[in-house]
Amino acid sequence: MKENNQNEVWKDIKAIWNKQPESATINIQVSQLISEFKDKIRPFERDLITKDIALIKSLTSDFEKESIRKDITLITSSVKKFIDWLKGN
Amino acid sequence: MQDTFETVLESNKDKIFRICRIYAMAPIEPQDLFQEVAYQIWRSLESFKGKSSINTWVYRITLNVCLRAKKKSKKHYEKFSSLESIQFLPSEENQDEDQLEKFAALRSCISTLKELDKTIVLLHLEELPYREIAEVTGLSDNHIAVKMKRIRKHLYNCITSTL
Repeated sequence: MKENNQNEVWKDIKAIWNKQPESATINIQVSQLISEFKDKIRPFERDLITKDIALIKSLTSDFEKESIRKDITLITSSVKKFIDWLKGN
Repeated sequence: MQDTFETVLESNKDKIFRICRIYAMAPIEPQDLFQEVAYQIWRSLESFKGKSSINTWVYRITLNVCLRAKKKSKKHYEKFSSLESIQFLPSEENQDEDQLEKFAALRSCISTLKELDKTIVLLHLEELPYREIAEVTGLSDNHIAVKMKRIRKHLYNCITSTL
């Protein structure tokens, strides 16, 4: 009995959904819309990309500096060891 | 590309708007969400690989935009606010008081559901088969069936106590 009621209510719910009021009529001018997207979004995205590149550059440069510093330390120590070895011979 | 965009948008605009109406919460209007969905479809159409049906793909984009809307401010939508090429005209149909009341009750009951359940029931009301709902949500068909059983019960209790 309860299941029958549930089925009936579910049918009503579907009917309410399908006949929902207040729906707007949507008119779209597609070619104009695409132009508007391009005009509005491009500067916005360009700003975002510029910010991202600046961020990546700053991070990369710090990373590279650190990496070069480590490489120099390693090379210096290797050269020093090699010279010491030569002196020993 | 423009032709495909036009076809996709025209054939899906009403269902996109129906979903946007459910998710819109002041100060963000359904129109704001609709415009962002249109933009996301335009932006992503080139990368659509056809792995799922275009229907499923449009629903996925719509739901992603609607679910992310909570985290975005009204300001985010202002970049779309003056799109002159999309016009929302009030429907000329007669507003049936009874229908208005019933729809308000349904909307209110749907809003009491958890996000995932809300997504599932909206897709089900849009007549998507369980297989496609599963594709959009990433759940299995069986899981959707089990969840729908619970959701129907919840909505049954909510609607019968409201109306």
